[in-house]
Amino acid sequence: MKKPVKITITVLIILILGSILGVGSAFLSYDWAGNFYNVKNGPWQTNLAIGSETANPYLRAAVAVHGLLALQQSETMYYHAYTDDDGKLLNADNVYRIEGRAPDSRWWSITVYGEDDFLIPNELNRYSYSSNSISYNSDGKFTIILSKSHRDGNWLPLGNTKRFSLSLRLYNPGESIRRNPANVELPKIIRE
Amino acid sequence: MRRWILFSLVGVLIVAVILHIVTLFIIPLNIMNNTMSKYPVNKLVKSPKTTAQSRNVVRPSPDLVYSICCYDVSKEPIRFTAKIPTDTYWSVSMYQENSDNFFVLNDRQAKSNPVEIVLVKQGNPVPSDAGNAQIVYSPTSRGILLVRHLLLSEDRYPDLQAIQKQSSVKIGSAPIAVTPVQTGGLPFEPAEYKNSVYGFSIKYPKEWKEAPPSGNQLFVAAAPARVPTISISSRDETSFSDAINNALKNAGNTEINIGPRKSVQLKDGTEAVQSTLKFKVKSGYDADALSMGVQKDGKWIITIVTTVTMAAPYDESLFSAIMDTFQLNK
Repeated sequence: MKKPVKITITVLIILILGSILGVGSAFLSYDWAGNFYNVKNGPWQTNLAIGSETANPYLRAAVAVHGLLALQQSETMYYHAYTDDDGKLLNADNVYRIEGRAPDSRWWSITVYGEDDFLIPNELNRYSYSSNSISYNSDGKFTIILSKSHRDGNWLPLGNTKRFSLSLRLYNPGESIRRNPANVELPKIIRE
Repeated sequence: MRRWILFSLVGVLIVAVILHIVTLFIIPLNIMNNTMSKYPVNKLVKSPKTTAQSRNVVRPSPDLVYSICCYDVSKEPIRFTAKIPTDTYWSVSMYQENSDNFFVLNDRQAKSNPVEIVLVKQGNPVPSDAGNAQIVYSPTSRGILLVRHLLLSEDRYPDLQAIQKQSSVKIGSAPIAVTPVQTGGLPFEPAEYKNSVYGFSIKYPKEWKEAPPSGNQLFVAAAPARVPTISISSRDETSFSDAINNALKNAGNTEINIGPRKSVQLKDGTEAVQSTLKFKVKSGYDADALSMGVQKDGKWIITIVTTVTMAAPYDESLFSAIMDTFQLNK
């Protein structure tokens, strides 16, 4: 093979392999969003730089894909859960119980999302419980059941989805959460 | 041959690293661009309630009602005006082209209601006609402005829609001109109540219907939805707060809380005192009101414009405009 042809082929191979590796690894790396949530609290995870100008390119890309137009942490804290308390991926064929006390914030909500990061269609148009819609137990705690089949009480329907995830939103979070986001008591996600 | 392979591997690595970084920067820009292409430019789109059918932005909150404006301030600033609900969370936030949230203001931080913001591209000249509006600089020419209204319960949705309607985005930095032709500069089409005994007059929205007064009341009128209402009474008490307190108590209201009083001069030069009020109406609902007292012949002429916030928002600009039309016959 003549040298110029050899050089051209090599450069082409370098460009093609480099592009596949570079672009592919970028998509894979941001989509491993779990790794960029640097604060973990049980199954809940967050990153305090969400929405802010200090977010690194990986986090910014992950937020743009999974939670575009998020607010800065001083205004709202977003915790996401993709697993239960035992670390197993949330699966809509199971029944889960979310148990806990009202987190320290002006207003809070727990919302369930399908695999596509949108709300799960259901007959009741029920997608979330919040500090003003939830019913508390007599001990001051609350329980939410997540299942496909109807349950009484605080029930979030899982519709026809397979995998799902949860978001805990805390609007104007209190000092206790902002100071100690990894250890403050958050609701448990228990598989029944 | 070995050098050739090494050279190729280093080449692949360099290209991969460069494209890895470039791709990471392009992803948010691309997603923002894609979102912005779904909305008209420099128009505030008032979205309906969020449901499973809402698929423009990922992970929407079903408890919030959103208004969104995709802006382009490269040539001209935009002016955002919004009415803030008084009893629920509200915020306006702005995102630059790479999705970073560079500005947020919530209902508790807002210094005025309605809130007025002029958004200017960083580096462009500061507009001179922005008036009292807060100036916010956008790091990029294009971006997204997002308003969040928290929906406390399903039955409050009509109230929230009414509030949502009172927000707007317009191109340019000057305030929206009030159309003064038919209303004499008022933000409502007026009807007038005249009292010849005490010698005063006041204007109120024409669609409000007069109702029979009781006790010391001279005049009562109410909006078709029953609130807001206006009531005028004459009181013998010596202090403004006693006059207000008794006027409200006599009408069956409880838990009366009178805000700080301020002295005002009405358009005709009449000296008056005003204060905001909070109380519970006879049926137990929370009410917000603006009150005004004018002294005439040793009596207080007390005007109170009241709303039950659950049914109609507290509209300070409307209530103040009504008070401003009070005139003593000279």
